[in-house]
Amino acid sequence: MLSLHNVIIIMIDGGRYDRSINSDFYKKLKEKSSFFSQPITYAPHTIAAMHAVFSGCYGIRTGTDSYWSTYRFKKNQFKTITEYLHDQNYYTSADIVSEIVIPKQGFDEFQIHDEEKDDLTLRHLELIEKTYANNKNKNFFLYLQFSDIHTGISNEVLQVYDNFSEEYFQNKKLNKKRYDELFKKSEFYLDKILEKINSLGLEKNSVILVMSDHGISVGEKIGERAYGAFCYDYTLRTFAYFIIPGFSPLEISQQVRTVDFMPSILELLHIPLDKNYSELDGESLLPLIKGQNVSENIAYSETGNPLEEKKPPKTPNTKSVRTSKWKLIINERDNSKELYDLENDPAENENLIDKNLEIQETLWKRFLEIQSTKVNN
Amino acid sequence: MFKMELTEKSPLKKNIVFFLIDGLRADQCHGENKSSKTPNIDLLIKNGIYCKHAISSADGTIISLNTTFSSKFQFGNAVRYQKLVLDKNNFLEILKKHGYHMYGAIPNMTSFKPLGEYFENENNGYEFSSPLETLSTGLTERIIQILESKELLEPSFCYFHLFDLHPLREGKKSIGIEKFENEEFGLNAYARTVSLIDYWLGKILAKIDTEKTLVVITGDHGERIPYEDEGYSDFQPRFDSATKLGRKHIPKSAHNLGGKFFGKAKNTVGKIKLSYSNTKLTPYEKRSRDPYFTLSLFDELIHVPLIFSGIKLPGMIISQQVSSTDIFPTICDIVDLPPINPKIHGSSLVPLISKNLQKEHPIYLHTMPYEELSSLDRVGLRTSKYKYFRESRDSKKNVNLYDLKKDPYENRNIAKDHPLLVEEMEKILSELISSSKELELEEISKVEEEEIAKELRKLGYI
Repeated sequence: MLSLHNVIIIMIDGGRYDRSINSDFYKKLKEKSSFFSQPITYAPHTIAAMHAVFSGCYGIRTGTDSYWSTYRFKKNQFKTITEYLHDQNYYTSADIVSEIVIPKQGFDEFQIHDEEKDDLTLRHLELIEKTYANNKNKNFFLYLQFSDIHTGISNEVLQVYDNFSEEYFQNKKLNKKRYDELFKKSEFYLDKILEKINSLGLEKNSVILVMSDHGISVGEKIGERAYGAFCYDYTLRTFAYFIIPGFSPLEISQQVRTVDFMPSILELLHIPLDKNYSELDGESLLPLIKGQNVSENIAYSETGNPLEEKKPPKTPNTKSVRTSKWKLIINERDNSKELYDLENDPAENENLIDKNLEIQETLWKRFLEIQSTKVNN
Repeated sequence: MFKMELTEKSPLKKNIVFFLIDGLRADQCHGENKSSKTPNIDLLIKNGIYCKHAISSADGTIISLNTTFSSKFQFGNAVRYQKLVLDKNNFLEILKKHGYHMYGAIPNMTSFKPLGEYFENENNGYEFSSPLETLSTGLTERIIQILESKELLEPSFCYFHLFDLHPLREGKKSIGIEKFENEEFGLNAYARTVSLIDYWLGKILAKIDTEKTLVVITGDHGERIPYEDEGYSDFQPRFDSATKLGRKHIPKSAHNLGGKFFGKAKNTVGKIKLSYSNTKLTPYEKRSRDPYFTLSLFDELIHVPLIFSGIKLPGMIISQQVSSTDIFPTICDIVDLPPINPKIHGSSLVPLISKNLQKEHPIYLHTMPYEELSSLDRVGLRTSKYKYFRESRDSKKNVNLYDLKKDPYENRNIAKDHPLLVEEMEKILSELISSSKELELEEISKVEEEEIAKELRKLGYI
């Protein structure tokens, strides 16, 4: 058992899984981590994705299921990881891009950076030092959002093209180059941040999670220039590196859900779940981190496709249920479905819906079960 | 589970009868200090749920009702007005949307008008003054008439606001109290009036089919029960002969001046006599003799009874602290209405009835407002362990902290001995207030939307 156990979450906003596995820097990070190569986000956009991570629950139950529903988070029913740690006398601090991207509950310090002006590397290095210096005899929880990829995409894609711009979709090479340059920034940032953490000795007494909230399109599917419109793997599949003192590095390739992160951290810290709050959707990944076999859970995701509108809708209209091998997508906007064999068709190009595959019915039933947990906002 | 049983046995919507007994204290309905004789209330408790630690957020009727009907605390918004404010999301509106027909009897007062507008029966206002209509003087018949009316449509929600305890504030006796004026019915005038109310309630309850009707009884706030039945006015000299002589011999033009003189003299003498008589009394006993309009957040003014009975509810006493903001979410849950709007402070007590644990929340307290700000205006909170309050405009003034477990009568202010605890309570209070601002923000969807839109624009999403 750890004597001191800080929690540091570094969230690489818009970090693509495929780029992480090909990056030399991330490869090195993998060598000292419990690396999850297939975490599936609840939502392919930050607001709903991170509310789900913080609460260990899907937004379909917590109320935060869209870009618009931060204030609909049911804080009396769902306790966030911040609140759990705060109750354990942790000092809790966050530095994020906007006040609506994560639940505020339980934070002692809640800072918003200016994504256009602030140098996040310098800013977060200072924050780590300050938090460390002020809490030498106290545990702390630090949540850092690296938003430079988002900022670049926002300036160079979101504000320039729409979801159907021919110029964008015909220029995949440029899209990839743009994204790769932005992703590279995360390597520089992480290098400095992890070096600082190490130099302060925090790797020895902290649970560190480096994760991404969703991926970003480089023009794979017409209709989605960035993220938040569809439920394809280039935005749903994320990465997670848990650096935990005393645990041997390993790669866990089976599918997990980002809602599993919160209960995993609580179990690592021996913090029991508060029975006064609603049950979690997530389950602890600790057995997997310990190298044990655990059966895989179905991952549920949803988002609101804006279609021809300029604003994302207030309720999700595009949903999916996924295993490591299969994915069923339900497009409520036109009542269509898509089924993909992820093992043989990871780019999700061949729709196998209504081809008499048994898995379609199994996933559909599971989808209906999850839908029945939906609460009214 | 309890709720399942209800659903299976009675698929039809249940009727609701809600009695609000103005100024009814919890300790005169149930518990070891009760001296009133209330067989009808006792039976309701036996066959239903009794919340023994139900707390109203205010010491006055209107604010308390606002918090009850809206299920929201009175944080500096509309629910702190001195009139009933029933916004579009209030619970009467919710019941109405689900097909409930509303009937009631309420005092004929302007401040109650918004409530009366919900009622389908025309004669819903009863005389509040000269003289007040009470259960003994016709209100019982009026209520029975409403309940037995052929025009009453189901499912029905009937609300009856009883002011029978009010005359006691001015030292007046209820009409019909004569048969109850002995120790068998209570040790003081208040307890005996409660016995009288119970007697008449019995007549009304006999007309209610409790198999298909949920009966709710609560109070809006408590009341002072003057120690040895002697309140502040009992210590004032009456100056009857002097007044009589003055009226006879002093010119009419000087009556006003004379009245003021005698009034001042009455107060001064009364205060001296009261102070002398109070010498050996505890703070609780002293407070009991304060004028009825004195603002206060002590338990005798905010601890109320809360009963849910009928429709085969299990007999159960709930000990956990609950709030009047929980009443309507519980009613809706019991009568199987779909999940309610989460943007409220109260929550359903059904999980407690089903013996599931539920997190206890601190209850916000704020004295009722007067037109001019009073130096006695207090704000604070109550947990099952502590009561904390202080001046509403200055967190450092008149700081009060009571250990409710060790000192249920709130005789010993321990604020000075426990500065850290005071700090902690103040922090909880500020969090409660700021969380309510978030709640208010949630409520105003346009403001919410604009704020989020601004952030989304900044983030490049729209």
